[in-house]
Amino acid sequence: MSGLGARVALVVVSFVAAGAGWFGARQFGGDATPGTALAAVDLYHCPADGSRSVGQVHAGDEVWLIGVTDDRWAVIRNPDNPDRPAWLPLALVATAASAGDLPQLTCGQAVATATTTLTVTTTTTPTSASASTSSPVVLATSTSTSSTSTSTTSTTIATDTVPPTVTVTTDRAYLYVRSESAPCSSEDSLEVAIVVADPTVPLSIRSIVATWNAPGGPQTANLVPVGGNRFSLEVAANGPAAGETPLTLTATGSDGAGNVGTGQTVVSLRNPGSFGCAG
Amino acid sequence: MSRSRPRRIPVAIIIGAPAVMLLVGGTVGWFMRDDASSERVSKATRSNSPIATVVGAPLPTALDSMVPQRPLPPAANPAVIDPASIIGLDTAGVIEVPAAAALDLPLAPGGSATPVDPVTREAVQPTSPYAPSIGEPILSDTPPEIASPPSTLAPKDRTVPVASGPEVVEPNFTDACMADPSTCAGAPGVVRDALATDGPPLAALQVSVPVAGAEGFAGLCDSVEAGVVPDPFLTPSTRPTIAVFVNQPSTLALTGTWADGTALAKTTMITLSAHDAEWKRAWDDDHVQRNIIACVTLPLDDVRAHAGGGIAELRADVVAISATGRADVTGQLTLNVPIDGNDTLFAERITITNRGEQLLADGILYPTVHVHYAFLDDGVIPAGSGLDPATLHVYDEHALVEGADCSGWAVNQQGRDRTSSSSYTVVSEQRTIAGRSRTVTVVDGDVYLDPSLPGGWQGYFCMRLSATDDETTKAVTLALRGATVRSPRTANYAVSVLLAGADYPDDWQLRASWTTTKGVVLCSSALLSNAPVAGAGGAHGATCDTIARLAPAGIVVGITAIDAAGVPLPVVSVRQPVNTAYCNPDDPFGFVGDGCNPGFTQPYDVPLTSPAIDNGDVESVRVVLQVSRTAAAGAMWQDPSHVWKIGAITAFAY
Repeated sequence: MSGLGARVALVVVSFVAAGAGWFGARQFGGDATPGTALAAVDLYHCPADGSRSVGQVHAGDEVWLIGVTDDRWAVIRNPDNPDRPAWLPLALVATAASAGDLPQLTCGQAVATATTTLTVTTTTTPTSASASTSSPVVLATSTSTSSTSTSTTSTTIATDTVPPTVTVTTDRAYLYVRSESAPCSSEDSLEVAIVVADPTVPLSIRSIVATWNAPGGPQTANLVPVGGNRFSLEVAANGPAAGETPLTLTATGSDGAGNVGTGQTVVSLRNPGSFGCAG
Repeated sequence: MSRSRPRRIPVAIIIGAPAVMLLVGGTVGWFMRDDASSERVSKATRSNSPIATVVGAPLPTALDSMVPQRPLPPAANPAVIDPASIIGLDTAGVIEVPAAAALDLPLAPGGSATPVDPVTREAVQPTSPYAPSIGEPILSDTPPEIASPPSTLAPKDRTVPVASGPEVVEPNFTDACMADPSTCAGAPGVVRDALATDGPPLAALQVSVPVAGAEGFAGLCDSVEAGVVPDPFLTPSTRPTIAVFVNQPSTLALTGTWADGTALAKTTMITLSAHDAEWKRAWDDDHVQRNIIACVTLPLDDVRAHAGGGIAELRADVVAISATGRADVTGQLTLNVPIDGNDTLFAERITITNRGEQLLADGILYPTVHVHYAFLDDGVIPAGSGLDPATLHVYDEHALVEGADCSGWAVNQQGRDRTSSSSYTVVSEQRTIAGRSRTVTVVDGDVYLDPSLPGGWQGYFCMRLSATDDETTKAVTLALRGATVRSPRTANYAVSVLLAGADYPDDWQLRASWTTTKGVVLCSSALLSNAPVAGAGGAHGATCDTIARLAPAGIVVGITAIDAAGVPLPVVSVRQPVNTAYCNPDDPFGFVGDGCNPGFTQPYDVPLTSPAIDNGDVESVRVVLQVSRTAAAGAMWQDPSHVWKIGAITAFAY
């Protein structure tokens, strides 16, 4: 092997060898594998439209989950401020937690945004994969005239003009005017339960009253709360002269948007003397 | 004249020069390589402060591709299995019976039972959905204390391992809770280096507590065992069958100890390959992990040898092994065995069995007993009654009675029926009995107790069978049977919201509400404030007391700030998981459901970032959510907390 060409070839081959050595050492000498670089994950204060990241964590960081939002977001203690929740994709967190370990957390802004989501889910068929999970329950806010800039919230308020459903149920279909004689004495009190149903909470019972007609004219009686949504009714006097007469129980309830609904049920008010009980 | 020939390059240089250059290049490349370990060292020497320097990146708009959903596995609960998740369980043909209604039983094949008013005998319609009474929150500046956890929490060797991230990456940040996880509410996690794309994880193998097959699963077990049972002459409902549910295809073995101390020989439980195939299809196609039933029927003579009064008590140990792991569970169960006798009315005696707590469509867990009996259609006319067979009707009335026994309830209208509702199936069959073909009406019912009653409610389950015809005004009682019952216990929850920030303006308020995931209000809303004047708002904190079975899917705590002008600003909504398991210190596997969990305290410093807020007055709200969970210690062996305790069936005078 001789000549200028041979020398040039030798130089070229030497540099190629140097390059190969450099590449090989870089490629195989490092212990980092593709995909394990310290990738940054953005954190959000609230994953709603228009949100911007407030910080980052990195692959391998050991974080503490305090909740989830749907199946999409993990909520962790913010590394900057442990009491402040921070959101990042749940698919980017390896955890042994189950759904029973973590609360579903929805921040205020997401609550407002999710209002629209909930409406959508009622008109669409969820996929089987997501059917096993629950949508976050949205607590709609009450009527406000100054929250016009919160479009989603005000939309909810504006659309809820439907009064709540008020259901009145009793533990018996009749009651006796107060009696000291058995067995009527054991049935001279009526327990009334009122259920106010509406998606816009808070719901409240506003009134409950009993009305009936007696020989002396129209009669009314108030009910006594016995706990929760249950009330007790007793009629001391002014019942029917004989037999029984319809007694109407009328209840009103309101929803979180201020709509008022009414419910009624009718029972029989009995004269004890007509049913084998001494007056 | 000669030309000088060029000198030949020595072979050593031809080989050596590239080799030296290769070595030089390799050396340079080595020092320039990607060396994570060196970076680890440098980062490990830093403080634990995060690298939170990059802010302001917008939330991805294409969320489904950028932030795919990845559900967590469902919570483990070996005592409550959603019927809808059980493969092969047929719930068709169920008759819904409102509270205090009777069931008009057909006496002809093909007839259908209907719920009727027990007095007027007219058909009744299903009542409106059950609504629990609304509690009143307790206003207080100090929420109730959280009890110390009992000693039955997970032993160290069975603690669920903490998930680990890529091993090659050293954490740059480690949350302080990692040092002592027991002091923090929540769970540990490690940030991945890439999105998990392998679908939702498979929940770990779980085997339910064993139940008697007669507790509503007789038909399903019959199909699983395909008639290959020790005593095929017994109807499925009267066989001493044991069933469990597993959330993965598994092989299962059963051992146990009878109440008399005798050991039950190890036996294999049977599953249906078609159910395994359906489980695989549901998982592959829908990523839904359903439950598979496994059954075994014991020889009648073996069970009868350990029974008294037709009831045999067994402490059963079940071991399941699947492709992913092993699980075991122990439970106490009651097996009913047929009693020899010459009953002219009942072809199969009435049995009342435990069905634990059943999750109904309204999302509430109802304490449930299962009632089963079969009567001979030609035995329902008592001698001398004068009932007309042509217009005969037989009625079933049933009740969970408190304050009276069955005679008091049926004869003297005493006591109070605490039945919420019930669902029945009624089948008319032709059977050959003593060589004669006779019509038998088979009745199976699930009777639901008012779920708002406290755990451990005690009373009587009563069943009256009566008959009447078009001419008779007063029904003739055919049978009045019943038993003492005690319902499963349930954990109490005290969920408190505390306004903790002293810088929250006095003229602002914080509204706390408590509902179920179905929107049922558990407690009235409470207004909290820092206002020093009583009446301007409320206290700093409010507590809602409720029970686990009313909100098994979680208690939704809504927190809304209300500014000085009365404008509500949603702050945060927390759906707190509810643990319906109970605390049994003698349950070696109780930590699976962690029924002894006493609760937690979780502070939230929630920013008010709603676009509606532009007044700059309040940047955040600091609230503390506290859950105090109470499940007084029960006993797994002598007095199982998660099941009904049911006495012997008794005939009552009428």
